[in-house]
Amino acid sequence: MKPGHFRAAGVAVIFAVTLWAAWPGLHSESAPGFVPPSAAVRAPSDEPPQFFSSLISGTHSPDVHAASLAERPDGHLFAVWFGGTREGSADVRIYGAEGVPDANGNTLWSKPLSIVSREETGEGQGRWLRKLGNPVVFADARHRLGMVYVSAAVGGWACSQLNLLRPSDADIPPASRRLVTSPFFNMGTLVKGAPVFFDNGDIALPIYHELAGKFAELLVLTPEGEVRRKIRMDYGRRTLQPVLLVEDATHAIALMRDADSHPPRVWRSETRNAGRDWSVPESTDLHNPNSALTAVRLDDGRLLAVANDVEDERLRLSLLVSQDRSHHWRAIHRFEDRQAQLGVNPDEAAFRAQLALDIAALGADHARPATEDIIANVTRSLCRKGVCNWRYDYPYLIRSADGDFHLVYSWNVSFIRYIRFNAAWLRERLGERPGDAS
Amino acid sequence: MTVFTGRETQWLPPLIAAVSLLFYPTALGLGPLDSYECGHDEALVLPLIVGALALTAWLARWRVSALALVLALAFWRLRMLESTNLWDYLLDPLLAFTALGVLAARWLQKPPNPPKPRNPPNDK
Repeated sequence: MKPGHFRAAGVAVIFAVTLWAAWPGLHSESAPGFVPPSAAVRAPSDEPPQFFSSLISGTHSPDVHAASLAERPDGHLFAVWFGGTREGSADVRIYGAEGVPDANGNTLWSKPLSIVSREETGEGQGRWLRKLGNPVVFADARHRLGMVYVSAAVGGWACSQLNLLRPSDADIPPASRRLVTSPFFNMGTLVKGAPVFFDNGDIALPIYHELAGKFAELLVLTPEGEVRRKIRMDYGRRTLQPVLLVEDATHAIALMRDADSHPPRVWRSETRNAGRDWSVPESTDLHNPNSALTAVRLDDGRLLAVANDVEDERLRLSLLVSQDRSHHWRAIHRFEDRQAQLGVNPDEAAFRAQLALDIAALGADHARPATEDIIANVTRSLCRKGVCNWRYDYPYLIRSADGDFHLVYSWNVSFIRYIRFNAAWLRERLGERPGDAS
Repeated sequence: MTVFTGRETQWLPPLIAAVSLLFYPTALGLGPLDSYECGHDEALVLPLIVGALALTAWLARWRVSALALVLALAFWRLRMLESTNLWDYLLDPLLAFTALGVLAARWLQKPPNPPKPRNPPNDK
């Protein structure tokens, strides 16, 4: 081939490959909108207030944390969490349990089962992994369950990556797939909040970056779980763990955990074009001690959140409502409240005595470990040099299609507490009469 | 025929280093613009820029660079790696560190300035 022809052939090849590579960009479909929230089925207004609580994480692991849950199309719930000797230990697995709600406001939970281990995740990807972390379970637009969870090969959670696991149809253990979301050895991405969905089936998963900075991002996945794109919601070092609240096809509010600002408050941001752009985060008046929060949107536009509404420690977990799209919040119920103990830091003996009373107050529950085992585990995890403290954190709230609310959170890192309440119970807390809109 | 032209060898490390120093900090959160997002699965501008660079390299006889850029585009469309982002086919931290290392080695190996010749004694 003459040199001139060789050169021309190279030019032609470069043109062709470039055009082929850029082709999807030339033909990308118009940007999708959010699936607008569907109104929950209205329960009869004379339904009595219902409040139910149980412990769902069983006795298999001393430490449990970061639970999430989703509703399946058949109305059953599926909860997941990580559990092991302690957070970040090599024996941490992702566990799950199925909950069957009945018509009387109770939910019957199955025994927990192991979903995936650190070794199984690594083997499926041909990699060695050091630890597992936060799992988020969801039901996608086609009603298939999926789970995104965190793993890390080296270092701390700053070096994390995301993995996607879907139940397999065949009778073989499902293989997880890693999601590539960062160019630096795929490090630094974590997940905590529930995904929302686009009208083309895409999944909008709120994630956060924690390697160099600390900021919220939005990961868009195809219905098959491929990474489509990643949208920056913030930058720098101020926000973590975004929670998305869709208002309509183009508007949504994001609430974000505070990374380290003074005074420490929950951040809020908004989008007006279905998540493609986000406003600069601004403070709300909701106190936040650098801890996770959760929220859902009510049919009338009010927002309901569960959070540690304090500036320091995680001694209090409250239910809060906002009537002005998250700028201002009002606490309407305390799920847990040890705030009077802030700064007291009881010694181990006093702490154990108090814990025994706390456990008794949870009520009889055949599914939970023996009281002395719980006390032993909590003191091991939460006492340092003879000084102890309580910890109620990582709440995750959803609303099921029948209008009921389902909450899970970590109770002193020792078990996952599940709470279910209905709209009538919520109306009481809001100070409303039966028949008022919810 | 040599694989690399002299100029390619001379200029590739500083070019790769410069792109890396612009890319990684912004991709990891320095400032509001996310450079990594320019390479997302349905990106248009970045593949066109890469194609233009490949063309320029080819016409300048920087054959290795041209081939690398074209292969990056092709592998990206064929999803040869787990990533759907074009940047992961163009660059990685090891390449960036290597380029910076080459630059550092060159700077360290620069010969010291030759001593200035002394003025001859003024013979009157």
